[in-house]
Amino acid sequence: MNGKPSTLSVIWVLVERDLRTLVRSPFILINRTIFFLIQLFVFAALVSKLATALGFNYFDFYSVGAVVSTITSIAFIIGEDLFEEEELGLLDYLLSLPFGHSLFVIGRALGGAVRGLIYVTPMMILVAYVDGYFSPAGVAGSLAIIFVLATGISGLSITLAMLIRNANRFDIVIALAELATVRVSAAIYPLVFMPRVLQPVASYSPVTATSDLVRSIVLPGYTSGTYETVVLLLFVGVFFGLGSAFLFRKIEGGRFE
Amino acid sequence: MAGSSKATDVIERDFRVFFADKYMLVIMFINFMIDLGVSGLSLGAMLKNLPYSYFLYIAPGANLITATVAAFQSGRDVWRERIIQDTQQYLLTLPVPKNTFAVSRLVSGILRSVVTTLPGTVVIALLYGLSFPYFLVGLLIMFVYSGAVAGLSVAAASMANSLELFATVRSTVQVYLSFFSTQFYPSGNMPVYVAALSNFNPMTWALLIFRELPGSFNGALRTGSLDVTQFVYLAALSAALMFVGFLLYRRTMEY
Repeated sequence: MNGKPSTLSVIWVLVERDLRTLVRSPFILINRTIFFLIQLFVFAALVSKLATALGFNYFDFYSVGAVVSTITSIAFIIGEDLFEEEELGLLDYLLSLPFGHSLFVIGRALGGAVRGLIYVTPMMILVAYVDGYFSPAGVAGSLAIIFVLATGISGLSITLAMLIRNANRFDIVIALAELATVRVSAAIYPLVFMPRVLQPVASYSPVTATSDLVRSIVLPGYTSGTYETVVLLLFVGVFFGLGSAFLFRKIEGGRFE
Repeated sequence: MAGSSKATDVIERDFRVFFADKYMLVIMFINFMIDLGVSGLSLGAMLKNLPYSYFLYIAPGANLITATVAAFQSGRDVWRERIIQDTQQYLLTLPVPKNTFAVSRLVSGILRSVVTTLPGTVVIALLYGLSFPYFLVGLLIMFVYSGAVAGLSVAAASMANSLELFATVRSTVQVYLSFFSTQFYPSGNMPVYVAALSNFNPMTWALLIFRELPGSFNGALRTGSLDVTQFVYLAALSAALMFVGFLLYRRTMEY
């Protein structure tokens, strides 16, 4: 038998390990599902009643944003897992396994993203149904876009886990990063209503890009295209690179791979 | 050593732990500013058709959410001592009676939350145009509300044996406080079941009193229905939740 495992088999092992964590975490699954349903059928439904003079259906707008913000929130969990592994001393063991650190980041980011996708697939189907969209190909395309976002957010979360050492600070920073990525975006309100100074920032947000791309598939009257796709792919590329670089620096004492 | 001095020592220790990281305070304030300055202004601009400023309507809720996050750090500390650091047994060998120790942890959680949200409370007082005495009433509301959340957080920390369960309870409580209260919508717009749940939500009562405080700029929000019974209700709810937190925390101290 060849001693060194292939790249694909390493990635699969890492993804599978994170999926097993999903199976062992029923509370998180139940909690996020309930949170999503409350966001949709309590918050969005009640705010829509107040937002009667907008010229568009806020419930439909928000429903897509709720799926995108849920996957963002779930993808951040992978950083929490890494931080816990680091606290328990398990990360050093994992990094001593016979594969490169970049591969480790890719595997964990993909694991986080696949896990997130499993969470939100029923939510996306529900949103498509309540918004009156019934194309399986369109729903699959939307899920593919959401998966790309989740991969980038997982990379960002891993980067934060590698940068921060204090547990309390990590908790707060992760909550802040999650809040900032969702709120400074067009996930829950259109860019035009945001404070002017933040509109340019939000227009470069991967969460905005994902929300716009999915809305253009699921909801009539919304458009998006190349710009949103480029923003999303750039975000994923940058945080794969950073996550990998910080992991390497942590282990190897200062140099980037 | 007198009982009150022992309690002060426990509270001082919790303050040292909490404020050892100054960045945390800054980050929590940024958190509040994102809630208020991004979501508040955006939703306020979106809901311009209402007879009152929606931005001012949801502003105190942003500060109460920050108080929730800060107060939940108490539960996080208790949970870490029990499960991760395994230091609870050591702490219980210190010459502090268990009841005093448990109450002090709850009180420190409240005080940490009030101090953390002080800049936010000042911002809300300025937005509402509150006089100094009413600003102090605002601080009192934050104090009483923080008691409710500190009680919930310590209760959660005492029951949860895994980080996953603790995080789930924390998140569920935050969702309940935010979405089943009058933070985003008046109770008159809610379905009956949501309105019923919101009556048992400390956030609803804290917001009700905050919005009714007589300020220069929040006149359109006020209905003139403020009376002392609302404060008594909030205090009773808070005391009940603190008592639950106390009982469950005390239970973890027995072999």
